[in-house]
Amino acid sequence: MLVLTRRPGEVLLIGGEIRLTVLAVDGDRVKLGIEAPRSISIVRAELVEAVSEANRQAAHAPARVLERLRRTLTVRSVESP
Amino acid sequence: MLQPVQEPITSESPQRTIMFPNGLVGCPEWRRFTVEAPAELPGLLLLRSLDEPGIEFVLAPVLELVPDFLDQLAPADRAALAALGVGTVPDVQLWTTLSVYDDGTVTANLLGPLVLDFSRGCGTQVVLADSGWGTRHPIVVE
Repeated sequence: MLVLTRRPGEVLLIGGEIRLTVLAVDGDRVKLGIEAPRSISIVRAELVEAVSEANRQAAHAPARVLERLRRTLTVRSVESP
Repeated sequence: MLQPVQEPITSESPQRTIMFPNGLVGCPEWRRFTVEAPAELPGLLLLRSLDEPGIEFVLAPVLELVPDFLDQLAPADRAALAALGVGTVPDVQLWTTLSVYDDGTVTANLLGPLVLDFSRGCGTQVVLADSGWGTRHPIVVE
């Protein structure tokens, strides 16, 4: 891993198309500004990990989901006047 | 060779194939799927992997679950979806995977919805960077 030290207002260039600016440092929080082509996805790593985990959870659940939804619809139709 | 999805999935046109060129988030190897409409639960889709047997998802249309979903998005997320055709191209639709938990709660992953382009037979999963939606949005609670 490349490790660089920057101060607020200083900039890093990544690959010629991505401009990363350190906007502010407040305690243990760093505020970054990122300029990049729209085609490049920029997202917090923990969100990607959460979606990845959700995919693996959902990938084996269809029978249970369908059964649960089927049961809900049956109950609702019974309850309907 | 994959047969692209040419028209909306219905119980009358029960099964099509759809390609995710980048796979799903965290699962890049899951790229080719069949899509079918379960006859007993109209409005939902079943997404079955052609790459890994046993991998399958139940999908629900996001805008049926949260009609003002697009309006609630952060501008950057709304722009990212619009760039993919969501809200502007009729055949491009937003779907979400469903999960069920031991207590019977069924949840939708609204943080990482699927953008399905039925006319081109392809899809992509997006991660909404800044809109506050989670992966466990309850839709049926015990």
